[in-house]
Amino acid sequence: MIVQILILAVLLLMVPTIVGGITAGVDRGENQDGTALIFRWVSGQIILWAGFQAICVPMILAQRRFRDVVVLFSGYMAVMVIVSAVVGIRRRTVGSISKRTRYANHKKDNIAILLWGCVAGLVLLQLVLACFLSYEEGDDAYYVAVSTITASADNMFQTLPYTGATTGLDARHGLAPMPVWVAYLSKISGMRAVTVAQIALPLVLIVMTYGIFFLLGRLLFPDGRRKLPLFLLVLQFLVLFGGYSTYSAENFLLVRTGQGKSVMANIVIPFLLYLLLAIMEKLQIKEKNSIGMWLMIGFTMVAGCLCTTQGALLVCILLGTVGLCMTVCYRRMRILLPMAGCCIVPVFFALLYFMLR
Amino acid sequence: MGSAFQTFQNYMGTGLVVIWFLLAVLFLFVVEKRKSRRILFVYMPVIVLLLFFNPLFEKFFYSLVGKEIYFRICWLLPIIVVIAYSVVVISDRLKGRMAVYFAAVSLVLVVLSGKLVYSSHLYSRAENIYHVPDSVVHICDSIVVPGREVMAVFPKEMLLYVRQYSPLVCMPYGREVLMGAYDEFYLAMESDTIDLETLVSMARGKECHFIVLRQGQKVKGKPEAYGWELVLETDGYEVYRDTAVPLVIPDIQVSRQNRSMP
Repeated sequence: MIVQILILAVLLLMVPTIVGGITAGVDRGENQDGTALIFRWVSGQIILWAGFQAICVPMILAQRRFRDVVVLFSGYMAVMVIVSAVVGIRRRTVGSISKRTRYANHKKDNIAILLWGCVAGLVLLQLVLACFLSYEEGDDAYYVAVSTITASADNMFQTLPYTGATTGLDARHGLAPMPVWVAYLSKISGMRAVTVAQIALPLVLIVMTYGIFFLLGRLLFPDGRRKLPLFLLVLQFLVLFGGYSTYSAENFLLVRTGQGKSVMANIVIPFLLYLLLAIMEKLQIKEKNSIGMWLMIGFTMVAGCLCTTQGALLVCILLGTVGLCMTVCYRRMRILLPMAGCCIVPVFFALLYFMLR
Repeated sequence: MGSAFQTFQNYMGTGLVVIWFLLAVLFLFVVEKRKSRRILFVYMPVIVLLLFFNPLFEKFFYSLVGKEIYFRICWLLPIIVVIAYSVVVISDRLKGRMAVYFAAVSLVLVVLSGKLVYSSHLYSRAENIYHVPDSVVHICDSIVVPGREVMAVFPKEMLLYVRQYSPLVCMPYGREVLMGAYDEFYLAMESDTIDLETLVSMARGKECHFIVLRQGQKVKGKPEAYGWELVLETDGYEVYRDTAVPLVIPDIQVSRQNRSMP
């Protein structure tokens, strides 16, 4: 069990953080002030998800075996780690290592400490409850069963998850193969897919969601020692008390954490908002946005397609809406070009979805 | 149009949190000067809401991906971020004790407006590291045959979990019956008094190797008389093996299959 946990820690924490080195610092340049590691982790995972989508969907449609996906994705991961290492070395040689700027005033602030304590305590509480409480979630009977079958039967979306009967290819669900990624984690770590989906993923994804909120908060309140923890505390209360509706993103975060839909609502969309805000903050101070930033948006859009079959539509609506507002407000038509570029892959997946449904 | 309102109403639930969000958007429209934040927290949500309630867009979306998931458009609204941001901006403007009071009142309002996710009756203490009932684990482990799948029929409370736990246990029906799909076998299994004459023929028709019944379940007829052997009693359930349905254990595949199981 310990070995399985360590392998999962490598796959879900270490590898993404290394891979995230490819786009490290594209969000805020040199003003990293402690957010660099979180950004690396999240962006690394997004790059891996985007790659998984690009590898897995063609394999599913070609009805190839799951073990082929395992080999190819492991190769992709290895290549990304090497690319990140090369990028890291190059960055060091040209001397553009991110300088960390910290708060100028280091006076002890008891209220800020108290707020940070509450934030950390509440995150911990949610993680403990994710381990020790189980939720009777009907959709798990589909998604977790798909992961379990894939990890053991070596085929993808060719078995009815509810009964185990053999069927033709379920191409529609196969366009958003998040359950296959869970099966991949299960296969590599040796942990049962049901444990990966019900315990390991919630632990990682809940922290990742709050990590993205932390990034957002840092961008919104760069000068606030109390503002940032207060922002996170209010967010946590809103999540914890998000049971007012079974459809809310907050409810999905705690109840269906390992499902693609929840990843879409609580990781992909908030991270896209963060990236767009970072771009606009740079536009505000007339600073040029790097290609890496647009690449990151592109990766996030593709990662959205992995989560749910409607993901392509949702991310395109979001990018289109914000893009139009940016064009009008900043009077920069040129922004539309990279934005359109970021939409190419999701539009392709959307077209595929309409052809196959 | 009415349908979009209905969907939005369902998404709002008790409604107060979404009202705080709309008030926060209005507040930021008045006070927020930075373009970037106005775009993300005011203009974008307003445009998304206009799209959401637009009958043409609604029709377009329905035709493309269906009605049931229209609510997911609401995920594009940064509801909790806008509320939290507004609370911080307001408390920053108030300063001193008033700021603390305002922040505290805001948190209380969130508590009163929402509903604790963990208060749902669908939550229960996890019985194991699989988050499926122990009964499912015990029964599946005892009926699984290395190297092949087995067919087993379970009571409805187990249907959601069996295939999450074991890919080697197949079922004649699954979650679809809980969602309203008609299945005679399911109805026979869940009737107040199970008529074995009917159930046995259905179970054999589906080639069920195992039949799981609740202990104390009223049954018309004796299982032994139909060739059912009681193989296990656990966690309030009885597991019968139907000897009339052959269960061949493939020797050659055993080691290979064992290796492929995570």
